[in-house]
Amino acid sequence: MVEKLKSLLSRFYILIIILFLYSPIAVLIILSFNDSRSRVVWGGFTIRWYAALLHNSQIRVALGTTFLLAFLSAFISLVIGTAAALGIASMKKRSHKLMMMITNIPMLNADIVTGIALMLWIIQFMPLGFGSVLIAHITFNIPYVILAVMPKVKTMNISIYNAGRDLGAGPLRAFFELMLPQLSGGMISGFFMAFTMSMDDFVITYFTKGAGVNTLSTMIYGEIKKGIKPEIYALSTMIFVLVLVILMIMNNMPAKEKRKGEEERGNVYD
Amino acid sequence: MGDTILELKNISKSFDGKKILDDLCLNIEKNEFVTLLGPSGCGKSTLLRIIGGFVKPDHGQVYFEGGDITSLPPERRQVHTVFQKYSLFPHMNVADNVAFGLKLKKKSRDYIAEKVRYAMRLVNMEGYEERMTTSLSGGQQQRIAIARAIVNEPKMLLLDEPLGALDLKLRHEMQRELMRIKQEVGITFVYVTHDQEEALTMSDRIVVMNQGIIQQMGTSKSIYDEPQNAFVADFIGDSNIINGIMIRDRLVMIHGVEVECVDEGFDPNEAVDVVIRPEDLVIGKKDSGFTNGIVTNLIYKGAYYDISVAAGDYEWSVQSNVPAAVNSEVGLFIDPENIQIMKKPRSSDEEVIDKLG
Amino acid sequence: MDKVMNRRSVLSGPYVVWALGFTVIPLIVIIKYAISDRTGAFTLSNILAIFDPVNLKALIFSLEIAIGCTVVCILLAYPLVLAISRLKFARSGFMLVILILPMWMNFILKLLAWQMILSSNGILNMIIRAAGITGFDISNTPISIMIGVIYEYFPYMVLPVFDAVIAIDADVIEAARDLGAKKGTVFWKIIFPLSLPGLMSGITMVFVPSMTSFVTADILGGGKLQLVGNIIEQEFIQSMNWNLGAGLSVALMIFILISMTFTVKKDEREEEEAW
Repeated sequence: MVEKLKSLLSRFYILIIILFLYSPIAVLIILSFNDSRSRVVWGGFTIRWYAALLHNSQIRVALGTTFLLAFLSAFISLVIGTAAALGIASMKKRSHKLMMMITNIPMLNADIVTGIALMLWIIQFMPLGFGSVLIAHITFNIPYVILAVMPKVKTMNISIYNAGRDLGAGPLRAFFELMLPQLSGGMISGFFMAFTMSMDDFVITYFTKGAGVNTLSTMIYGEIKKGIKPEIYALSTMIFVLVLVILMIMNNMPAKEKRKGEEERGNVYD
Repeated sequence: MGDTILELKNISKSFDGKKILDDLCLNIEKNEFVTLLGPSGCGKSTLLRIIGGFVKPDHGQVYFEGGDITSLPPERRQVHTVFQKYSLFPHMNVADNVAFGLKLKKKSRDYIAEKVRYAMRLVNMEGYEERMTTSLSGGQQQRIAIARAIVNEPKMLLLDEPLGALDLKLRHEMQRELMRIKQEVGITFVYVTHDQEEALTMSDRIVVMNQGIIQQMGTSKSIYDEPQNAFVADFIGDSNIINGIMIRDRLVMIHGVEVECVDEGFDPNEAVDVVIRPEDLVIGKKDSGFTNGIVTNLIYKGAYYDISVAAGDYEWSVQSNVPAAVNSEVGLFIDPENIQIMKKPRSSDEEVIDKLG
Repeated sequence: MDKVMNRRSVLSGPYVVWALGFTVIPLIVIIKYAISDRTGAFTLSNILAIFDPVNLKALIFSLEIAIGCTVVCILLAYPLVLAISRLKFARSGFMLVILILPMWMNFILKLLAWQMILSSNGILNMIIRAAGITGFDISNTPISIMIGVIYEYFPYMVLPVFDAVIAIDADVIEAARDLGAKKGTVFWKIIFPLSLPGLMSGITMVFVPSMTSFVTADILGGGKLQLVGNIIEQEFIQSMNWNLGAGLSVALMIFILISMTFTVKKDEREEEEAW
């Protein structure tokens, strides 16, 4: 009886948190169907912002920049970061420690400080623009890849590489077909993290972008005073739904992977 | 037998619709060393977890010293568990691990120190008090786990395959150690294992389990010498189990040959399982034993030879002190007293042996 | 490649170059800006400017917001982690989805949505007024900034704590129950201490950005309440005084470094005093 109540209570708490996390998102989705340019007036239901989206070149360009930036920075970070994780794991204790400390700097430093420091440095040898933003994003993304891949490197079985070589696989083939698959879990989540972080970033982009380049974030920031175009709500809703679907699919794929011994465990009276 | 400490009455438990324990009854005496023995998935661990309070049975009651403890949570039972994976608290040092239960009971500092010292000595781990548990070897960790349980003076200690993760040599050493500890603290041990040798070495009484029911209960000797069904015979030690027909009392037909035995009380011409231990078979000259066979394999095992002899459609396993040439034809001898006749299993529960192959 | 596999540390070459070029050198550059004036002469005044009353007020306000948000995040995160770990179905996947999904909505848009929810004529006040309560208005207050900050960084607290809690061996918890610990005791003596590494990274990932999240303060603070991030941003974007901005950034960095080592030290001591 008490257990029932507790279980009910904890479900209720999860619900409250979900409500907290998703209420602003619900507001934005509702706004995307609002037939009024004002944020505070409900002008009836419409889907015209979704249609207008197709003709808004400014949004299209910003969206393209955002995705290109996210993809490029995540991909380059994946390559550099995975190699780095392999390398750092085999280093001696002191250099290992030093490298991990440096890796932690962009994660521990305030975004604003990272952004400003990069900006102050990069303007000394190149003009700010897409390139400088890309450099900045790669810089804060590599640590996410390293931290995601590192645990897999530590549990990786190196002798498989030697076994592969022994059985006649070429060195490159042994590396790509025997070593990388062992890291794939960490690499996928590292790439996904990096992609998300890049999409989500505003502060570092804001300080390193210079004039002329805009991601969705910086474009929206620039529009706060003038008023947000409703097309943006429509776009955000679409991205949100797309990601929701992707996550659902990804989450349901390896569903039946129950740990052995679990069935004999049962519940501990709770 | 008024000394029953634990009584399990009609215990049943299912997980996800799969029956793990089926109407099981078991009494455990004070000071006994009882071993629950069986293959993985036979329900022995679940039974232990029911005694420990981690699993609530679907049906049935658990009585401890006469009181019903079926619904009592684990922290209120006078029973402690030693887990297979040691399960020491990784954020505490050895002494704090051992003192955990006593500190919860708010015992005095001196009392705790005294008890911890005693427990550490009991498991031969003096001097390791300040070490972190993660720096210990598997055997050392298991000693600490035992000390951590014993120090609370439980009336019963549950051990869930505690030596399963150790290598063979260490396992033997720990077996002796456990028996010594048992003797010194004088409490009831309920031990779970799938290792028959471990069970035979340590137990006062062995409970052989399979498919959620008790197959046989008894001393090591009675279980080994007189298995009651083919499952027990096969699971405990190596066995030749072949089909036979009981002609009459004290006479059984194997391979179309009538062989003398000492068993009685079967129906005339009843189909039976005949069990013969490999060490009880003797190899001799052709045509001199109860059957002839061709030697198909010979493996030197140090103390004896493991010899396979094909006779008819059955391959006998023989342990012999003398070798026999492969491909030679030999005769097999058996002392009537060493033949075990068993009824054929009737219920599907007992037929696992067929599935095990 | 064989040589590479034998001397794998060379694989980190590109990263070492990158980290030097874009993590270490930029820090040196910002420090160089911080300790020079506009003519390039050495000065400490840019860093010491953090003690000007206006800047100091912003720093203290940032600190209050950051501590408040971190504490609230911890208090909200543990019950959530425990509640989710009770669920039987695909636990970690579910957790990840509900926490990461909102990150794909642009955070400025989400802040604007919060502005609409929290404003004087907003959704929250509509509901409260409908319930018959008047005079309740948290728009443009520190509370509303905190809601925005907590909303943004809550996942960064939950995820590491969840990872740490889920990694605790079920046997260890059972062993504690077995030795006489009630559920509450199990939490304080076993689950909480074992989740400390996760909690520490959660604290860093919430505390630091909380101090500087100037966009949140802009949108939910009505432009009157300033975090130290707002001050730095203004020096760069409006006043164009890069040296002062860099000085304040470095001062902030030093401040964060000191408070972090303090937290870590404190944590180590507490661990020793666990009993």
